[in-house]
Amino acid sequence: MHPVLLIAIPLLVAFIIPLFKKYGPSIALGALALNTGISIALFSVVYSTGTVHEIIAGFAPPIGIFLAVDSLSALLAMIINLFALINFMAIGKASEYKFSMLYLLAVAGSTGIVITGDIFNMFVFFEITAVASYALVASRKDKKSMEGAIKYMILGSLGSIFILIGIALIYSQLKSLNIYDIASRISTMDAKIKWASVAMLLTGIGVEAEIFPLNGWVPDAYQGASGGVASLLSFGPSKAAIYAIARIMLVIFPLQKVYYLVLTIGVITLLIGELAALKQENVKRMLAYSSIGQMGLITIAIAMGMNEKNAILAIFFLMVSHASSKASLFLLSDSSGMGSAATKYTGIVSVLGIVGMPPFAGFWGKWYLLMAAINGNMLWVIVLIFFSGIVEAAYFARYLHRYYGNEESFSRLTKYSMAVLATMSLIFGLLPLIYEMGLKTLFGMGGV
Amino acid sequence: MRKLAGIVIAGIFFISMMMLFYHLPASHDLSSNEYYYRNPINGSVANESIPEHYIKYTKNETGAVNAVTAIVVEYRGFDTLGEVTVLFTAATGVSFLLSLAVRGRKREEANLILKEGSKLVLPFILLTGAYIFIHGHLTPGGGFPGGSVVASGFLLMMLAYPKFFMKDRISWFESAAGTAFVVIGLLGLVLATSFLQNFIPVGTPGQLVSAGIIPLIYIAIGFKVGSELSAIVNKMKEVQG
Amino acid sequence: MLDIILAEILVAAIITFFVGRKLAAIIAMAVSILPLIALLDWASLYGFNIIHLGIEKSISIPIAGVSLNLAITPLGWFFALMIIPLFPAIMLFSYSFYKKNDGFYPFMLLALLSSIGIIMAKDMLTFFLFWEMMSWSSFLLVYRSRDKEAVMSYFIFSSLSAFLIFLGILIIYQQNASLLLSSINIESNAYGVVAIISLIAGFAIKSVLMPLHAWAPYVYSKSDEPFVAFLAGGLSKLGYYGMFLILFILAGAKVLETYFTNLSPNYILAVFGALSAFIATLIAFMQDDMRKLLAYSSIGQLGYIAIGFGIGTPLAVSGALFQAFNHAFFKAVLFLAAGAVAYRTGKWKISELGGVGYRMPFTFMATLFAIFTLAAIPITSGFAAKWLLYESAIDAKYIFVAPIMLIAGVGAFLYSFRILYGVFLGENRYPNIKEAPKSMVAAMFILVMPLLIFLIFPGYMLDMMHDALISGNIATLNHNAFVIETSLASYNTIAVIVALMIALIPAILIYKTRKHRVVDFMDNYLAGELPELYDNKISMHAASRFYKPIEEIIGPYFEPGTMSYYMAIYRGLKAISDAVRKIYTGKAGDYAIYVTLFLLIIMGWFIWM
Repeated sequence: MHPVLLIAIPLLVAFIIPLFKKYGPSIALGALALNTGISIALFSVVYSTGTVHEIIAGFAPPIGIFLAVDSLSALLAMIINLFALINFMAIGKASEYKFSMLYLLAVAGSTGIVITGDIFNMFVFFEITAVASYALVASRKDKKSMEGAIKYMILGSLGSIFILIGIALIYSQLKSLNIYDIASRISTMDAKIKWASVAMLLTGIGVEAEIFPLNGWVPDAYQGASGGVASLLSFGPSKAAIYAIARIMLVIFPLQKVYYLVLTIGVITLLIGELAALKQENVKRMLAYSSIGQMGLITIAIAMGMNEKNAILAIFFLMVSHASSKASLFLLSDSSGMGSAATKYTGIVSVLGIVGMPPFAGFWGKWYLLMAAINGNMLWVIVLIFFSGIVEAAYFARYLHRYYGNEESFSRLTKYSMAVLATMSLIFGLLPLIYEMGLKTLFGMGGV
Repeated sequence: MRKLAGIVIAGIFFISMMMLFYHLPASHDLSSNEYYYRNPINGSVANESIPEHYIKYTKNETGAVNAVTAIVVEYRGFDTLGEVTVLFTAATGVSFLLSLAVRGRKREEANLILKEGSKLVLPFILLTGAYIFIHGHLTPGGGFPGGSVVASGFLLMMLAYPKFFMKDRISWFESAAGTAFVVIGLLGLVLATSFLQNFIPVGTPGQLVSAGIIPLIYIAIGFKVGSELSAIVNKMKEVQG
Repeated sequence: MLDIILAEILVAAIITFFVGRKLAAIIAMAVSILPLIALLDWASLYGFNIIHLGIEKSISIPIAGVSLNLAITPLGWFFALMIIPLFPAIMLFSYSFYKKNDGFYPFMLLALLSSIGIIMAKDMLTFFLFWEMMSWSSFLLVYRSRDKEAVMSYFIFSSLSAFLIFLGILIIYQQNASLLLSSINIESNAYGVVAIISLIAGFAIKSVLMPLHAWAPYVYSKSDEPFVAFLAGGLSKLGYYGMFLILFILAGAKVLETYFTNLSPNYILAVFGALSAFIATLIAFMQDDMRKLLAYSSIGQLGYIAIGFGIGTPLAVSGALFQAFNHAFFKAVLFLAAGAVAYRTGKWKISELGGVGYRMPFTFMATLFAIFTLAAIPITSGFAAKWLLYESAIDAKYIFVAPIMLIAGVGAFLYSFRILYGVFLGENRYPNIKEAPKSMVAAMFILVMPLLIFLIFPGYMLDMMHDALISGNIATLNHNAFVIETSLASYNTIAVIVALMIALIPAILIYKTRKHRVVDFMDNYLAGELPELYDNKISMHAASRFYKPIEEIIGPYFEPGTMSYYMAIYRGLKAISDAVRKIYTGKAGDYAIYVTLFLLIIMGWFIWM
């Protein structure tokens, strides 16, 4: 199994597309389908045999680069590619060939972040993802979307700089860029430089991962972006970034101080996101704030994952749940209504999924997260999660009430695609796949 | 008020960064055992550090005399593919977003000296650029600087001739070069065992034809960077009129 | 068998999504036959040898890597008796009620499925999972009403209920490291008490105990009657199922008693129940909308169950369960009757109705019987249940609860009288309507049957709840089919019937011997009243503001309404939301400052802490 194909194929196709402009979207669709197939195969390999490594350029890991696909990255790689395929179908063939190229690059970049085992390589993929996302956000080419893209770009570049400084600080001390090599030797680092690098990495990645207060770009970018792009952002780059936080914090820095910090940030992000969404009238902005809240929830799960197996399971479920429900809601937000059976279905199923009703994946996410919280004796976190859950219920009830039954103008393919996206949350909530993947130890992880 | 806060925070940030960098150790003993790396797959600990490894074995492992090139193209070739892609993404993004922008005013003609002079200089600039990236594995330089030099040649032409546009040819170069990079990588996967692995005999270090796939990749990067930068400039010029 | 039952309901739910309304109704009815048979079969476990098929009692369903354990328990069986039989009758009713199939059947089936899951859950995870499923499937049914208040309040209160229950489950899990109901032992400390209280509060939302009832008037009055019949009749009992589970089977009542030494929290539950019964009854007086009146009546009648659970003596709990059973059926009949009336007349306002009973005699008969049971007219099973409750309150010397209960009991008759008179009797305003369709009438009569059976044999009800009470460590009362022995006296059906007969004979004699004259409605009403209002038939209607004097006295006290307090909280949250949104100024420069500041703060925190 060669996980590198997940990156090589979209890059190759993105390079080739300018030669076949007319067929660009079709070629891109083919590449995404191929990638989806590979990612599903990769998932099944990881499911049956455990972590898959791929050495790049034939040099043993810390000398060269390697890809480390553990259970969480296999799941996310599959989610990103599969959802990207469905989402691309929903966006339709009307898009320009350059849009398809950027889309492919964003998908390849997000996949790369998820499967790489090298911290600098991760940074490179961050750059690809980020640059492609800036352009995609602006792809509606009106004033709003340009504004969103520029804010995203300013904060994104600031974040990139911090990531780079953080990596440089680590390299200055350990002379290594391999995440697992770094993790095994982190204790030999000078304390101050170590903390500075954690802070830098957390800040830098946090910008992409939409955690508070680094997420200023989120409402504007999501509002400016078209539904399909916002959907891509919600299951692609943002999930990859939050995964990067999980990988870096759980593998390299599973330390008590980091735990408290990440937990606090998660709780604050959750509350701010959900509260800000409550009074928001614009659908996309509301969904964006709600995404921030969900990211906070995942961040809490990551923090707790340092000591709790249940929380690791929660990360899995929450990511899938949020990816599926939010992606379909963003697609739906392009038109101000749910008129036909498919869109009604999408709206209802996504809302049920996102507020964590059984048997959707979100239910298990919340269940395991709160189990972890009670095992850690953190009643205050539980109460705050409940509080935010009620706020969330309030604005989603309002959302459903307002948009149900209005006229809409989606093509048939778009409607069915978003219905399929929404159903993913149900499928993953019923099948034992995620549970069994979640029980496998994450590669090289400290903590648990 | 907001500006003041910004200035104060930037100042604090600057000072704290200075303190941090001041804190960094000035020199390193690369052979000290605290830098010994550990293979994450099998957990074995080596008795060398990574920089030490590069210095010692580059020539044997890659056949490149220029260690920096070997690291950029071989050891961390995957990153380089990524960087090239970032550039490509940026170029695509720029052309994508600028495609609808309104054309501005006309520019006046350049003078005779610039026109004729640039014609004369262009071949030499291109030759220098090509030299830099073809000899990347032997001398300082490589695909990125070489490509930039090539692009600067076209920039000169654009300055001299307002009507000088490169339409489809440039995107053809872009695509072909990028594709070549990935295809070389995939050939490594097919012919050898891993992506971007060398599958050509390394030859004698120091010769022009040596170091396996490094020169091939660097040529591809050279074309890629050259066409990419030219395309960006071209696009901007197109918009400005 | 249990798995086949659940599977067939699930499959039916999917199929009914796609088929037409009549076929959907038939499918829904057909699939509810199997649970009914199973109920009868399980009855053999609890002393009723009706049929014996040997249906097995427990299964586990694998889902998402864990398994959900379900088993039939005495308590579950007893509650199943009041939920499952409602379903086919309501489906029968809906057969001619709906004009098209737009999501009613699939979600009703899902609600049934999850209700069965709840009452048969063997562990807390299963319980909670099905509870949430019940919440959202019933939410989607409420959602069909498209009424803003109903939709939003139901969704928010359901979430609140779910979270309160979840909190309780989490604390219990922490104390026992197990979710199996059989191995749970709630510790008598602050955490245990918080768990019990939050669980009970969560259940109270679903079983509309004041002051957590605020959603009910909106939902009950705006949703379709067949669904409301199931919601008020069946689903509201699930909250009491949960309360019984926590208070008695998991011994929560004992935990509360040992923790609060000088104040009895059970008493507080009883007081809430009594207030519910009393206040809701008063509010029900003032309603003009039939469905709203029934909604408040539900709140009041369900309050009695809370009183019984709060008192907690064998007498009280038996009475409460009896009341729960009765309420399931009579309230379903009443809502269905409201639906049938509205089906023919298109009206819900009592002041716009009148004389419907002349044209719809069978509907009227069913309603009449249900109202007798609701108002606890002697010899009905409603009287038996309330008798037990009154007696237990007196016996336990709950001097606050007992009188309030009595007043509320009288009140219940006063407001249900308005339905009888205002809707079915009085001026014949709808001379041209027909009797409700046969399926509707049949459905109502099917639902009346159990009430009739337990009118004659109240002792059988105690037989049915015997094992459930034992499982909750509550003694049962001595009884036979006709007589229930209590500590103060005994309830004897025969004696009551005889007494009633003796009282009725003079009444009938008086009625028969007097001459009657049928007068025009306006004729007797106008005596001495304002003639200029003659044209306004609404204000002239006998049932319009029937209890005007009472209304004028008590009305002002209920002016703001409970919902307004919740709305105040909601507005407060919105104000916070507004403040939070101001953090996002929309200026990239500010955001860059945030990022840098964040970096500096965490770096400083890391390095100097």
